[in-house]
Amino acid sequence: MTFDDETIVAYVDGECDAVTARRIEKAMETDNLLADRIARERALKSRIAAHYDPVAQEPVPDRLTALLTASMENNVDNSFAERKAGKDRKRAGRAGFGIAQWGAMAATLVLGIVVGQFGLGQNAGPVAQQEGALIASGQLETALEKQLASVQSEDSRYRIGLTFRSRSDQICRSFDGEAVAGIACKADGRWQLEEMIPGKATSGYRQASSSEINARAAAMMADAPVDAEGERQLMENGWK
Amino acid sequence: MAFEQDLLELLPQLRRFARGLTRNIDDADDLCQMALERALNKRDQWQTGTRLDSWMYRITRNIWIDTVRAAGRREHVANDDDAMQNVAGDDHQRMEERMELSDVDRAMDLLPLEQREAIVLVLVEGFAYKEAAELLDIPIGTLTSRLVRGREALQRGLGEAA
Repeated sequence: MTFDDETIVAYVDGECDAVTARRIEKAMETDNLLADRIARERALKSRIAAHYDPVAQEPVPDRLTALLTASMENNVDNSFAERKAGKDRKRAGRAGFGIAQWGAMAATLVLGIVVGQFGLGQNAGPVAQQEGALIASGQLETALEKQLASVQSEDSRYRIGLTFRSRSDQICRSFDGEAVAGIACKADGRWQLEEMIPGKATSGYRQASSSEINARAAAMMADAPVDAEGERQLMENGWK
Repeated sequence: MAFEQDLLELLPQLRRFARGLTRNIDDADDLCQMALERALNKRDQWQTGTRLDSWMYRITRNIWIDTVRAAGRREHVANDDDAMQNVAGDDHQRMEERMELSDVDRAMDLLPLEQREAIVLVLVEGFAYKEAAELLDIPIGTLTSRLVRGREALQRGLGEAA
């Protein structure tokens, strides 16, 4: 029995159907030419792969990684720069309004979920109401108060994103968690929630991503987000 | 940002693919840089849930085809003098390894681009025929015949001793 080149090559590449593969294997038992041919094709395949595989182990040149890390930073910085450079404040305000308005709607939803789960005023939940304001409580408050973005563990229920000084001169931090994500600012010794969207666990309601939270954060910033050292200093000073 | 993160993780493979296409380390990294720039500019065109590697490889290979065509040049041929300079000072075994590797480079160099990209996608990058054919916008039959002809040429180039 003879097999055409396409079939032999497909067999070597694992692209043959099971019936054909069995027929080839059966034929190889008696057909030395076929067995040699397949051995050669296999050897070629591993030789070519072995030639290029080390490339994937080489360190990637900085100029390539820098392109991507710069782009990551620009996603936040661009909107910050645009806002800062924007002369038409009204228009900037309106551009931000979409997110803010949507945020308010989402916050209503979140309230339903979060409050429904934990009940108003109980500090076990991530959000509590105090004198008409929504403030972080429980583990969310702990994360905002004590967690550094640079050294957070996987165990924490919340991940801290950006820390920055807002235009109303408060320290604000973005966070992301299972039930709720958003931005909280430290005022009068408590973390007041400025933005809130449903977290990952309530994906049915989730309409925003961390990039939208970042865009909102950028619109609130008086200055660029602090680095790891700045974050540590702010924590030592009680986020003032 | 997850997009950039995914690209970062893909970079080592992308460099390997580019090396296979260009057969030259500098051309390969230039090609990767152009591909990353284009991907970042066109990120909206990538559909979440589809394979990012296929999308990137397609961008990369399209840029390479444009580059080769625009330059109207014969693709780069490995410079044997450079290779010899590199082996100077290496011990004997390393030298043999390098000579061995440059055989593959030379054999790959003799392939037309359409065969080489099929060979790299399937033999090096491990793409299934169907995925590779989709990426290259060709029927599976065309892909398999390129693979067969490419392999024959490589066997000849490597002196059938592979």
